[in-house]
Amino acid sequence: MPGEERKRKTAAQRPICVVFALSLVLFGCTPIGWVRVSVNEPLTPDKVDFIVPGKTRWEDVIRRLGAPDEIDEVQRKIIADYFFYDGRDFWVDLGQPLNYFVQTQNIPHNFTLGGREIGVNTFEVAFDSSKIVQYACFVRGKEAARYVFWPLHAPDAENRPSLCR
Amino acid sequence: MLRSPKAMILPSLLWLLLVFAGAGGCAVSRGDFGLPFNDADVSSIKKGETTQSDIVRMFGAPDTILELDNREVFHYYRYALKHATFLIFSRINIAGDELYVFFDPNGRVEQVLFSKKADKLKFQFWPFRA
Repeated sequence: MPGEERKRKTAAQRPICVVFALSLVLFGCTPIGWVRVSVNEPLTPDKVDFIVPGKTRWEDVIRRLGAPDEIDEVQRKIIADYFFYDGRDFWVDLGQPLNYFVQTQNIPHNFTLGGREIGVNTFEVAFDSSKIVQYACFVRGKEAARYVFWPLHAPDAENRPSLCR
Repeated sequence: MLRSPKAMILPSLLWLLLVFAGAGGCAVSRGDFGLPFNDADVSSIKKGETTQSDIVRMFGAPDTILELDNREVFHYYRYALKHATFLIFSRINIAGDELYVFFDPNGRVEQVLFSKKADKLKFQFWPFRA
C-alpha cells in the first residue's frame, strides 16, 4: 500500500529464534556444563565470494546459496537473510563440593560462575528493485559466541576485517 | 608426614567422579516444529500452471504471506532440533526447511524456492568443534 511503513521483524517474532532461545535456557541443573546450540551451518566468506554488489542477480544468489531463511521487503528493496546463530553456555558451581560435607549440606552454598553467549553470523543480501545485489554483508556479532568462565569481563568489539562483499 | 602422589590423586579422582555422577548422564532427543515437506509435492509445482488454490491444497494455509515487489509469496517452514548430552557436554543443532512460492498477478506460480537443511542435521554432543 502506498505510504505504508513496513518494519522488519524483531528476533522475538521469528520462530527459529524462539526455538533457539528455548533450547539454550533448558540447561543448567548440573554442577558444571558446556552447552552449544547452533542454528544452521554457517556461511563462510569463500561461499559468498561470487557475490559482486551492483552485478550479481537474485537468481544467482538463490542458485548458489539456496532459499533464504527469511525474505523481506523494505522500501522496495528485497532483503534475504541466511541465519546462523551460535549459542555457547558454560557454568560451574564452585560450591558443589560442599554437598559432600554434612556440616554444609543444609546451608545455601551454591556459587555458580559462567556465561551464556550468543554469536550471530547471519548473512544478509539486499537487492534493488531490478533484483541486483545492492549489498551483501554478515551482521556483527559472530565473535560473541564463546564459553565464559568469568562473567565480569564483557566481550571485545568485533574484530573481523570486513563484514561485506 | 608427606602424602604420596597416589594418595593425593585418588581423592581428586573420586571428587571428579562424584561431580560427573551428579551431572545427569547421557541423553539423546529430538524436537520438531512442523512436519517435513513431501518432495514429490514440491517437485509437482509447475511454474505458470500451478495456482494458489493448488498450493493451499497441497501444503495447507501458508505459515506467513509476504508481499514482495507487489507479488504475493507464500512461505512455509518447519524446523528440526537434535540434541545429545554426554555427562557434562551437550550440543543442540537446529535447522529449518523453507519453501517460498512466488505468484504472478494472475495467482499462478512464478518462482519456487526450496531449501532442505533439516535432513542434514546431526546428533552431536561435543560442544567445542565447529
